[in-house]
Amino acid sequence: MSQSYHPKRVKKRGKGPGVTLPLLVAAAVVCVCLLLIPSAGKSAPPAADVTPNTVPTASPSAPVVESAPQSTPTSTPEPEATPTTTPEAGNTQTTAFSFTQPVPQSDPVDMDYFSDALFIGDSRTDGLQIYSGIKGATFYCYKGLNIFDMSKRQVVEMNGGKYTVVEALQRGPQYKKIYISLGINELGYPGTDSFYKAFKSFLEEVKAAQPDAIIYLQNLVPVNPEICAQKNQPSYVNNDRVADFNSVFPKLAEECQVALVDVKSALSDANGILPAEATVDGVHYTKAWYQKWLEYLMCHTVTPEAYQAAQTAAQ
Amino acid sequence: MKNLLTRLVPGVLALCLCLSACGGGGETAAKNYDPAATAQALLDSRAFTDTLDTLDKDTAAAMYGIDASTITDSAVYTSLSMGAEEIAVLTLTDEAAAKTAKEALDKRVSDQIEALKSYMPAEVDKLNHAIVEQSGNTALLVVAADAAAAQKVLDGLN
Repeated sequence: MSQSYHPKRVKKRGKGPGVTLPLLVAAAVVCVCLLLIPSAGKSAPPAADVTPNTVPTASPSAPVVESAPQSTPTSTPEPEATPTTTPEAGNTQTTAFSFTQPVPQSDPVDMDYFSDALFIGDSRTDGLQIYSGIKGATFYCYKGLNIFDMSKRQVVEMNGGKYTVVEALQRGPQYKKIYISLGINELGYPGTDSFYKAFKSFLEEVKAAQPDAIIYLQNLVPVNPEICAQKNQPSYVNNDRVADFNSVFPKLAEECQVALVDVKSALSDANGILPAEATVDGVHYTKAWYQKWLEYLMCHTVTPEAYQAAQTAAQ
Repeated sequence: MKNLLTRLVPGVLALCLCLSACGGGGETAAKNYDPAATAQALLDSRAFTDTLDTLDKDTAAAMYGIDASTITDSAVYTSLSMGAEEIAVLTLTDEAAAKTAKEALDKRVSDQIEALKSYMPAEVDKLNHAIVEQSGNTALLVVAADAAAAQKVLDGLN
């Protein structure tokens, strides 16, 4: 609408000679006003446009991070709520552990426990890294990683280079704890023999490269069959195959003298499957379930003394 | 006098309009995305098909390889299926830090393409249409199932 007015007014102004001077004065006043007023008015909404160095207050950031749609109230687990029974299973006991049984429940450790820990795994371990709230740990994990990749696939970025997991174990820092979780990407391989052989070989390489580390071998958490079907997961991603693979882990733990961690029992329901509420695709977990996984690890640890004693007893 | 005013007012108004328009065009139209509002607007759109969940600032910084101390505010969502869909809206201490963050977000896209091309090949197309922007002291990454819909949301902000 304003566009249609302007030509008319311009024409009329040109007719009156006495009008020119006041118009110029008015224009000058408007110019001054426009220089002052907009700069004051504009600064309110897009303040950050003008002042890129402005540090936002802390208050906006906290709700953003904590307004997670998930139900879990905190990003850090509360392990003190978990331990219940067996005082003899405390983290300081040194005799009740052997490689023939899963690691028993122990006193919960602090998050500092993971400052010298390394996690090796696939996309599930990737999820543990980003969703569980774990702090301080190192992760050699990669989407689609499987046991046959350990000396083949360069997935670890370190010192500007890319290395296989075995190379990184040999060249990288020494760790005090190494957690291994693999198996879901291997379900499509026939049988379990090749899996067993490759895993045994890998565990021997880990022990050789990291002789002072407690090695935690985590068994395989089942899938949710219904959701797997809904999401068109491959047919070999099923709990019969998961059970086949889980029969291998105790054997590996005993033969290679590494600590077996029974995350399968911790993260499956009474029917022995991954509960529907714990997954959106049948295979990977929700944030709450990653936190539950971390919580379990924090309450199932072995002291170096107990680990050493178990090795001596096994020999 | 009344006649003069009657004549002056439209002229002044026209001048105001002209000068306002000129003033707007003279500034750099830097868009600073509010992390929470931008992420929520994207989530509310139909641009995503996967279920996303939040990452805290330190975890996101580590994942992207960005110095956490340069991030003053953030909203980061990644896929619970470990797919490609992702939202990262970061406010940084200054424009230089935002440029560095943008480079890290570009690297994230190429890393994800590399990781997913054999694991979830269907997800790679989403990454090929990833939106990565740096504007003022903000940096943004959006990997959506419908990149055009996500871009429309972004265009409608600010």
